[in-house]
Amino acid sequence: MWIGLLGYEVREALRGRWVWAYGAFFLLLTEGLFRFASDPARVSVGLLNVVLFIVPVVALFWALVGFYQTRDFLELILSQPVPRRWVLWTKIGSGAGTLILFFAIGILIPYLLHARGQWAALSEGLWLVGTGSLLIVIYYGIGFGLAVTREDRTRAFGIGMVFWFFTAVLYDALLLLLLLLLRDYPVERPAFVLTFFNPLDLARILLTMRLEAALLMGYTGALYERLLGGVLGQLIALGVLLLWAVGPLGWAQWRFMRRDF
Amino acid sequence: MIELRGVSKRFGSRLVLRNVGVTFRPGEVTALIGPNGSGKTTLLKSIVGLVQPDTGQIFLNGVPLDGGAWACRDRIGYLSQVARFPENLTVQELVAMLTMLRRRAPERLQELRTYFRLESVWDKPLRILSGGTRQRVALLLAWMFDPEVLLLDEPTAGLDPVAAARLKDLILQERERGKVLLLTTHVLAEVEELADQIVFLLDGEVHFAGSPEELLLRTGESTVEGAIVQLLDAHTGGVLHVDRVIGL
Repeated sequence: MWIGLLGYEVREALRGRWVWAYGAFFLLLTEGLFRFASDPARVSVGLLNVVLFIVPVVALFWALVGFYQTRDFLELILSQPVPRRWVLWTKIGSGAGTLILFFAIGILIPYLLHARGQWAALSEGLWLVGTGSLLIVIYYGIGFGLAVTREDRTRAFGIGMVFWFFTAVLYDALLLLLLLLLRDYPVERPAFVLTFFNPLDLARILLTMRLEAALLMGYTGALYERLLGGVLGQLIALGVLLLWAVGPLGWAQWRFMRRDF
Repeated sequence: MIELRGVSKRFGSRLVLRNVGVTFRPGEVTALIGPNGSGKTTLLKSIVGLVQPDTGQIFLNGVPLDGGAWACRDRIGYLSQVARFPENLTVQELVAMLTMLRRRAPERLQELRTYFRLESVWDKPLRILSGGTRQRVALLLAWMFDPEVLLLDEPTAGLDPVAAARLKDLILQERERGKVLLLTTHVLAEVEELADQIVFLLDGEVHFAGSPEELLLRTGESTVEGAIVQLLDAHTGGVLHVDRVIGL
């Protein structure tokens, strides 16, 4: 039954134009970067900031729009003999799943075409897709949780935008300011812990360490490398990112199971 | 049979259902009446599980309808107040999807399709259908698995007079077949025509529950319509004359 429901949700998502446009954007961007810079390492670095900036905000909005547009239809589904949990997970699975699928296709096709046989370059592409996919899950979960808790969609979109802006722009600036103000004190370890609270920071650190893009690593990335070394730093960043993926989804489920429609 | 025992529900600071205790029996049409915001829709949604009561219990043939009793919804047909569906789907696809969810073939599908005059729009996308046609699609969805309980939230809203008359005939047929029928309406003539039991809600509280005859006796009116208007006037100080105009 849930497979049928998931299939229906995926078909509905594929019927919309936005997800195709999303895939086409990454396809054209990656292909364009490969044409300008034939070195796959430079392409990965070029893609890094776009992935970190675009992927979260699209996932957040995709979740919010997906919920509010189908709210009345959700009522019809939930009035059927179907467990709520199934409805929730097919909705999240199809929404986040289609975004991940088109994002992965858009990035990986040019990598497969231009970096054939170059395993290091292909693995960079896979890391970009993997980390981007985690960001999709995290921000989709946050968007879905917001939509479930907020009846007023304008307010939900507003909160979502503020959260994205905070994690994408403000958090780093505030962290840097804090470090500057406290530069006479030993703040390395607290700064290291503070990166746990921003999934975008973690994703950036993880990718810059993988891509060995020292210039983009920033203070926190360098801190990871100095305190933990490459592999351990990557594992910790990945582990906390996975926790970030589980947290919002768990919150969304908790609210959805108790929500009145 | 559906039984509500001490059901209360609060939305924020507003108490929408207050200790509601009422029974809906098979072979009876119950009309839930009351002004807007009196708790009619919340009561229907509580039965079907869309709203989760804060206190109290709801039973279907003695089985409590709590969070884990989703399978019981197989015996319930629910018509929502607003008939909105995914715009890309055709009527046929929507029916197929609900069939997949219920994991059994619809009963009387052909008969109902003809009854609700949906043959010509069967393969049309729902986005191009008029409000009245969408309402007929919603009625088909509520009815097509031949449920023993039918919860109808303003079922004649948006229907043309012919479709509304046919729907009322169908409701009476289902009553004869022993179904539990529960409908909300602002059209007082419908209450007079269809109801075996009237439940009057105001601010989430049941102010009257009984047969039309009991209502006439209590109010001293000669028509159910007049009696309901008197009930509304008595409890709202005449604020709800709009409902009276709609009813007439």
